[in-house]
Amino acid sequence: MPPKTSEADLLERARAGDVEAREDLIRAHLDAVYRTALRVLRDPDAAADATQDTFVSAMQALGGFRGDSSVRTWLMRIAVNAARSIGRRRSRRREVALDVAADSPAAGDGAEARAVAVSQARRADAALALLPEKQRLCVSLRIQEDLGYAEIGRIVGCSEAAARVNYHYGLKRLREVLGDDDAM
Amino acid sequence: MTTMRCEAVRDALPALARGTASEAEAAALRDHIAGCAACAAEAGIVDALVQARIAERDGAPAGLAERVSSELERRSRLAEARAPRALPRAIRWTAAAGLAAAAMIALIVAVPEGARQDAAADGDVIASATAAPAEADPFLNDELFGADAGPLDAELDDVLEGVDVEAIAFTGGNGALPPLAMDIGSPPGDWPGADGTSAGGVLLDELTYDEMRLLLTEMET
Repeated sequence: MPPKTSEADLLERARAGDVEAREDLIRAHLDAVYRTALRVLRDPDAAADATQDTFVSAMQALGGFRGDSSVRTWLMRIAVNAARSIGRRRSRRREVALDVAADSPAAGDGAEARAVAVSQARRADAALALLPEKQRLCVSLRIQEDLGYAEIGRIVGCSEAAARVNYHYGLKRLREVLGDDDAM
Repeated sequence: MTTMRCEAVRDALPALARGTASEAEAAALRDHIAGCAACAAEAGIVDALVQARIAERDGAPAGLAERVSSELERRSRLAEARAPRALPRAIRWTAAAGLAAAAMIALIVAVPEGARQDAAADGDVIASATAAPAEADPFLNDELFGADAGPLDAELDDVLEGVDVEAIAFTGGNGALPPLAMDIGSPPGDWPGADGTSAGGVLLDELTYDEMRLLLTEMET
């Protein structure tokens, strides 16, 4: 394992104009930023645009980053704002093609079981896309990014308590949409 | 079912689905889930969402990192081009004279066509500056520094790419510099080094509308 470059060191170098440090920061957080934008926009192209906007804004504001949160949280917060900004400019709302209430295949063994799992995962993801933005983000950041409520609150722009409530409301709605008796 | 409360169980479901819960915690959670239909349903959803995340591998698309770096590099170059430069006093005076000429052009362009024809008949200089439509003017657009700045920045880039601002604005296009004590109002044709075509003439003929605005910004910074 290569010697660990601390994030503080990377930040300091990036602030000083070190292009390599800047590239390292981008590479380290690109996926998380992109996924966050994708959760808001549900459109890969728009999410890529939002990702670019995020890093442009972040690098311009790097000098003002006080380290109150992790760089990842800070970038994801910017990503949410960038994605919302793009979303506001886009009037169209992407329709979710998948009928999430469609029949669920029966469980089985081996390949069939894997197919069922994939199908359930797709249905769950499609249902997630139907949630209101805050609930969607809270559920996704908690389950798919493994973040705590305080961090989610900072990213989404709400309190820790509100993040928790949004998460639970989101899951409640998912249960309603997907059906309790499917038991996934 | 254990004595764990449903709320605590549901808070811990992501850790269970991701396999990050401790063995003891995982056992307690599974025990609760086995006897609680509502928590079992939620556990199924949480597990499916974790699987969706794993299956999709929805990381950034290939090439996005390079695209971001390229955009940052482009903006960095643009910022450098727009950064205020410490110019010698003589050059600032010359630029001021250029601005005065640019202001005259703006007046000329704003004058009705008939009046300009009258003026031409009287032998006055007619500027060949190209007036850009107001809606395309990056300096008048409120969104220049907003999220929509991309096309406008590109427009500014185009202006910068084709123009050596200092060469045109500060030497009159022919390398002639005015003396240090030159008054702003002194005609550029009086500058040393000006040949048959006066430096001011070159300036008037070669500056486009956008270049003039760029020059104005340079002077303001």
